[in-house]
Amino acid sequence: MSENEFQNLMEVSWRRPLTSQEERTLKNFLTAHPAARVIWEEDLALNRMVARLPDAPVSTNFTAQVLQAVARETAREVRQKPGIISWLKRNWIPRIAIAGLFICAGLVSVQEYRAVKRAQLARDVAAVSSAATFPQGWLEDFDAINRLSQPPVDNELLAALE
Amino acid sequence: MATNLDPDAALMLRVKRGDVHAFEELVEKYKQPVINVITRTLRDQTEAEDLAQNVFVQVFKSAHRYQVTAKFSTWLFTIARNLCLNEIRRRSRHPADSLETSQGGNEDLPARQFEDVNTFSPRENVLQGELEQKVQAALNELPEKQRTAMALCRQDELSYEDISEVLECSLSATKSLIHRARETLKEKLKPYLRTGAWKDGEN
Repeated sequence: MSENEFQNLMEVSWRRPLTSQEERTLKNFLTAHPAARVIWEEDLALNRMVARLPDAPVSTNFTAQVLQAVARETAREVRQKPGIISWLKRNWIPRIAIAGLFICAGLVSVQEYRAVKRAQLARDVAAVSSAATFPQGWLEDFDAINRLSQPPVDNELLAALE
Repeated sequence: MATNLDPDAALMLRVKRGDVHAFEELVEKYKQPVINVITRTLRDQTEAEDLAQNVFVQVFKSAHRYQVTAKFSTWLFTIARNLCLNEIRRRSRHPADSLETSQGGNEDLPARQFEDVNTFSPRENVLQGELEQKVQAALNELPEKQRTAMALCRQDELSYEDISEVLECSLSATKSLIHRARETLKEKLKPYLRTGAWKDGEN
């Protein structure tokens, strides 16, 4: 048996007692390698110490308590109907998708608003530019017409003021 | 696959279909190993049972997600270890809190009833108790991963491969963890190993 096999046997002994075949192999190895005996005996003593540690105490009604806890959990889950809100709370992917949808809708709205504004501005500019191209002669008699609409000069009043 | 189905996995498949009796069987079978591992990992007997209860509730709640790809015991101890790590993290954030106080609202639950398992004579009890304390203290001083590895190593149903899966590390790393833990224990318990305390005819 090699050193590696000795190590393997030690690893086996950490988990379970050795079989008679394994014990025989080990005995032969220890006879041939007396130095390994000390290591083996220490390891064996530790195995015994750890194995003798008592189990942690468990209350006799532990299973009943677990079943009660499970029943409480089940009842709570039934009360909390699996509505869309709780589904969204549990799943982050749809939450991100819905948030993305809202952001996209917001961006589209802003774009649409800007397009409408631009179209309106274009219409106004077009109206102004069309007003600037009156047919020739339209403004020729402007001064005369403007004067007609003014009240006649009151000469008597002017003389009195003087 | 159905012919080689792990009996625990078969029970778990029944739990998946809502069979509470199958769940009860699993709790009965695994309550002691789970509480042992949690006690060794947390170094706290009083809170181990509450956490073990949470482990089984978690198993029941996650039953619908259970796949028969791994052994049930490996899956169970992985849940137990994750809850232990959460608890250790929680304690490091809120050192004064105890799990007992955070579980308010359970006043209607029956009080815990412990069985008296001491069957030694008073003199044997003293010796046994002292040595146990020394071994327990040495175990408690190990780092968390080594402590858990040692605790899992005592579970017959777990192979080294299963333990490495629970600890989320390679097989060689797991063996090395156990080896290092044992070397530390040997160093600390040397006087007791030399005097042959607890020596008996067993292997």
